[in-house]
Amino acid sequence: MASTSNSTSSKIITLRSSDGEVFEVEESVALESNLIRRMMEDDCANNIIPLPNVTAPIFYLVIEHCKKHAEMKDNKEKKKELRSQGEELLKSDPHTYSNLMEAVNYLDIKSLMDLTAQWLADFLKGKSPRLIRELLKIKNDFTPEEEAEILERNRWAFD
Amino acid sequence: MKRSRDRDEDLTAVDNPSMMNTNTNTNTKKKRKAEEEKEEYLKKGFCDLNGDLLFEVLKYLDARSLATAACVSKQWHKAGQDERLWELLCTRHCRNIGCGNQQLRSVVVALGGFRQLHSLYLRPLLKTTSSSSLSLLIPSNNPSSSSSNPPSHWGKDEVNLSLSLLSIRYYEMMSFNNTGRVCDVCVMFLTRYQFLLLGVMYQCEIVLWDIVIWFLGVMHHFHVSCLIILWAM
Repeated sequence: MASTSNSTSSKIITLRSSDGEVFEVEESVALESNLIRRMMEDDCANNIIPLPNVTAPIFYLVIEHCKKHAEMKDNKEKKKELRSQGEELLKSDPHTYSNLMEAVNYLDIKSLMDLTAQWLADFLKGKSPRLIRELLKIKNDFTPEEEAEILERNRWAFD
Repeated sequence: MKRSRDRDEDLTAVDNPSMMNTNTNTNTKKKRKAEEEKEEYLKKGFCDLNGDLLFEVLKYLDARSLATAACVSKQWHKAGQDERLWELLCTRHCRNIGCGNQQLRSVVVALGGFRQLHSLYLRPLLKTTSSSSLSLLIPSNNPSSSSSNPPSHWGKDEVNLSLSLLSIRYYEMMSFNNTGRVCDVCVMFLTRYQFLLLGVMYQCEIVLWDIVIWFLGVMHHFHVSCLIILWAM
C-alpha cells in the first residue's frame, strides 16, 4: 500500500453519486473516507466508484468539508471558519445537516464525523427540549402522557 | 395583507351571526393549511438519525444536557437511555477508582446500571458535596435542594460510596420482591441500618468495602457477591 500512497498527490479518483452525477476528486481527499479506501484496496480504483447512498449536493458538501479539514490541520483560523460554517448550516438547514452526518457516517470519515457530532452536541447544550425541537424541526412524537412522564423523570435537568 | 382580510372576516362574523357558519369553515381550512405547512416544515427538519449516529452526538453531552436531549423525541429518548453514555458520564470524573473499567462495568450492570447509579447516587453526591453527607441517605430526585459547583474529580471514596449505596438498593428491592420470608425482614432492617452507617463512615472517610462484602455474605446471593469481591480486589 505504501507505493500507492507515495503517488497520491496528482492522482484523480472518479466517484458517482446516487443521482448519477460524476465527481472527480483528488486521491488525498477521497482517501479521508475509509469506505473509499476499502473500495480501492479491493481494486476498484480504475473504474468509477459508485456511492449509492449519497446524493450529489450532499457529496459536494462532504468534499468541501474534507478539503477544508485537510487545510485546517495547523490553521486555527480555518478551524474557526469551518466550525462557524457547520453551525450556520445546522441553524439554517437542519435537514441537510442530518443528511451530511449520515453521508459522513456512510463514507466512514472519522475526522468529519467527530466534528459534525461535536458541533451538534455543542448546539444542544443548555437548550430545552421544546427549543431543540423548534430549532431542528423535529416532530414531537410522544403522547401527552408519555411526554409528561418523561419530563417529570428528567425534571432535575431543567431546574 | 392576509392578516387584514382575516380581521375583516372576524368583524363581519361579529356583526352578523348568520356568517358564523362560513367563518368556522374558513377556520377549518386555515387549520388544515397550517397542518400542511407544519408537515412541510417537518420534512425539511432534522431526519431521524440511526442510533449509532445519535450516540456519537450524545457522547459529547454532560448529564444535564443528555437528560434534556432525551426528552426531544422517542428516538432521542431511546438513544439517551444507552448505558454506554451513562458509563462515560459516571467514569469521566473518576481518577484512581482502584479497578479496571471492565470490573466496574460488570458490577454496576449487575446492580441496575450506570443510569441508575448516576440518577440515584452520583447526582445527589455532586449536588451536596459541600453540605452534610447525611442528605445522601435520601436518594430523592428533589431538585429544590441547592446545587453547588460539582467537584472536578471524584476520589475513590465517592465512587465506593455510590457503589455501596447502589448495591444496597439492589438488595433492598430484591427483598421487596420476595416478601414473606423472615430473613427479608432482617435484611430490610440491615439495609436501613447500613444507610445510616455508611453516611457516618463516609464522613469519617473510612473504607466501606469490608462492610459491604460482609453484608453480601449475609445475603447468600453469591453471583453478585463474587462480582463485588472480584471488583474490590
